[in-house]
Amino acid sequence: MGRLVRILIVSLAVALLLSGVGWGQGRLVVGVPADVDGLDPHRTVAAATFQVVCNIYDTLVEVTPDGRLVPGLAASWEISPDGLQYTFTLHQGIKVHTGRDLQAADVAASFQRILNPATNHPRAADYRVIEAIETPDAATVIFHLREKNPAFLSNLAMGWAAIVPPEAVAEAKFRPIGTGPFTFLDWVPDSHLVLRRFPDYFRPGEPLLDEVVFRVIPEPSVGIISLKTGAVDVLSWLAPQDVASVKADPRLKVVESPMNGIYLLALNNARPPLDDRRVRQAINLAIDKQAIVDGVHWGQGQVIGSHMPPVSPFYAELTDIYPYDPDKARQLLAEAGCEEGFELTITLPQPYDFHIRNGEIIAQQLERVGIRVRLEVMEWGNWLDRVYFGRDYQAATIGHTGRLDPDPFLNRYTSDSRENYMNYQNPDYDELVKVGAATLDMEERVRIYRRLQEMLAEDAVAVYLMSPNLAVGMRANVSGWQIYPIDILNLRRVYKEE
Amino acid sequence: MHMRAYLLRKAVGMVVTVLLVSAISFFVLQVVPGDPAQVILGTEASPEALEDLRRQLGLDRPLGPRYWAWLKGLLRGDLGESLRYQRPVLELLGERLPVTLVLTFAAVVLAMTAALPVALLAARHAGTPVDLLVVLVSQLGLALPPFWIGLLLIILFSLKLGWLPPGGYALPGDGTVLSYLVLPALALSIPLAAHLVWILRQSILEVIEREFIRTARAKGLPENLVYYRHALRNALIPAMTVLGIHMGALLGGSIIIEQIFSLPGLGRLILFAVYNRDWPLLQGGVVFMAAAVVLVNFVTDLVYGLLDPRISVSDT
Repeated sequence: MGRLVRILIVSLAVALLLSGVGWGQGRLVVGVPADVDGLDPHRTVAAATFQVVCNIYDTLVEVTPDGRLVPGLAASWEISPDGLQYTFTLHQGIKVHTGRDLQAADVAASFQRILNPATNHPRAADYRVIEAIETPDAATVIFHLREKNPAFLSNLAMGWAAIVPPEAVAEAKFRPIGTGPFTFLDWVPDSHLVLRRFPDYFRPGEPLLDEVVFRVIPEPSVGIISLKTGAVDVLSWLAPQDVASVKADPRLKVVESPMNGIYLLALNNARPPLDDRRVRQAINLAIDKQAIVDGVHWGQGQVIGSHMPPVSPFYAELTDIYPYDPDKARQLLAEAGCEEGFELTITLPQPYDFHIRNGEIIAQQLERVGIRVRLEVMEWGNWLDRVYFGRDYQAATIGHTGRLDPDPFLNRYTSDSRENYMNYQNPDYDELVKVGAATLDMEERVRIYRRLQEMLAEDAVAVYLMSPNLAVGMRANVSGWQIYPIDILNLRRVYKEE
Repeated sequence: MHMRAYLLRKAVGMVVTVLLVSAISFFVLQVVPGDPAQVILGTEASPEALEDLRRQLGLDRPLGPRYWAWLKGLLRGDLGESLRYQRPVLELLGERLPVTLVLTFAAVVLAMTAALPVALLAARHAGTPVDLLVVLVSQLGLALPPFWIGLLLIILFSLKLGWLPPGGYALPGDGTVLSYLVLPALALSIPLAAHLVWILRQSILEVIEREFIRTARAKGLPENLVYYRHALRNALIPAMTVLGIHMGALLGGSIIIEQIFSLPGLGRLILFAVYNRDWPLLQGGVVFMAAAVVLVNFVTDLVYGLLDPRISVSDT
């Protein structure tokens, strides 16, 4: 009995200590809409995971908010004139979370893990161009490439190229060990994930926060309430309809930026009557894109004309090709022998609300030119099977995001690409993609990728709707938040003013 | 002797039910479109990589042997490993169980505590404005969708009053876990309480007309005793049925309430399994839910016998 009482008293004291003042100091709580699916950057495709693990792991190269490539773990690099050899010099004094120094051999081992088929790295193909990795000394890593690859450097900045030290491999999914600004403390799936400041981080003075908590809040309206009540300091994603109300609240603020991504209505170019270019052009003319930006996204986005977001330096301004013109749409449909209109099924991916609503507005607009639309909502896994890989569809709403190089954006339209789910066939396009993928000169590349966008627009391969804005809501005392062109929540320089 | 035979018969019946559910769900899940390897490797995966992963996950083996292997695992208490989390299914279910259990029992206790006096009040004043009000409010409680009740509670108690957190689960140093469970338990208990009031009021009114009540009154028993000892006890039987059905459902996790209140319960784990085509995890979840329902039904049967000695377990 006496022992029980003692245990009770001790646990009460511990509970009091834990809940005592001082715990909340330097702790930032970030509300996120979805949980990580593990913490191993080499074994996932989940955006939610990359958003978080960029704080635990580092990459050789990093990207700035305006899209420039800058040193990460590598303090500098040199590219041989033939573009086949990349030599990286590591920063001095990089510590692994276990306390030891990071060696060039660890970097090589991390890439060998990416390339090992047993790892099942979903994007290993991006790195197959590596022929050999050499580590002449502890601070130098040399990559020998099989062929010129202008996307190589930017691919090293992606979250899935993170350097995972060998001692982390065994339990990387649950107990990540990296070199990043924060160390892993705790993860309760579907609830929260806690990171702690890494005092030996190689950039002096960073990070600024002592502790970061990611709290999963799947319901957007509850996210807003959590922000307003101060239960979270930051809400990593604001629904477009909530942006105005957060801005209006003096205790809160919004950091926003155009997203490196696009929304579109994909058309199956092999399915009649969509195999007729005039029909696809008519559909383009019949859709009022600004009405979609305003009606579904509360004005939080920008109308586009081809498969590239305006934030990209490779973007071509092509919004004039298909202005909203229902009369001309009807005329083109008549020319194509569809004066009676036709039936069109649009497959919408569940649970992506905005893609579903994009489809609903499009349906109404197309009805006005005589196209009778049937909307079919399909659960995501099923959608992938049927639309993306099965190509068994007529039209579908979807988005594409997140790459730094234009090649991964545009090579999907080549005739033999496995991801050419719109069934576009154009030998000239295929040829030009090959040229672009082997050209290192930046000006020449810009010219090539703009021409490719023009080809897609002229052939009306899809209806390129818009590039959305990304808005992050936060308490007014949070500073240093930045939005990146890749999907990461980098908290290194974020701090709270007391 | 009777009791032992009954229990044995029941136990066999329960095991057979759970096995049947497991077999049906196992085979039905295989015809659901969508490929776990595809979901894991994403849109950029090569056909070879997909094939490799399917082999690693054992998805290339025929269905019969796969079910047999799963069944053998089940007998050893091993529900296999989640494809996505790469951890034992049993462990994952076990982690989520506390949230779901606490919520279920809190909701049931809250609902019973509220429903009993209210139903008695309404029944004793049948036909009066008090009764009408109770009927109206309980109708409303039944009609309101739980997600809406949940949101209203959050708006009132978190946003306006600032008394309770707007969902989530306690972080280290956040004080008591309990404050996080009050609102979701309340949201779950409101429709349940409304249903119970509805049933209890009705059955009290029916029981009160029966002969044994007339006898009790004729004996000169005080009215309170008539209601509490005789009427209520008999009226509880249909209420137990309702409670049993609700409890079985709640133990499977309440996806909507967990979603609104950001709670890591069984419901969201199962939703995760569906979206990720995580068959072993989903299969484990389904079997767990089936077992919970079967068990709650069994307990309900036993409670019938306690409430009404005429219902003997061996009759059922």
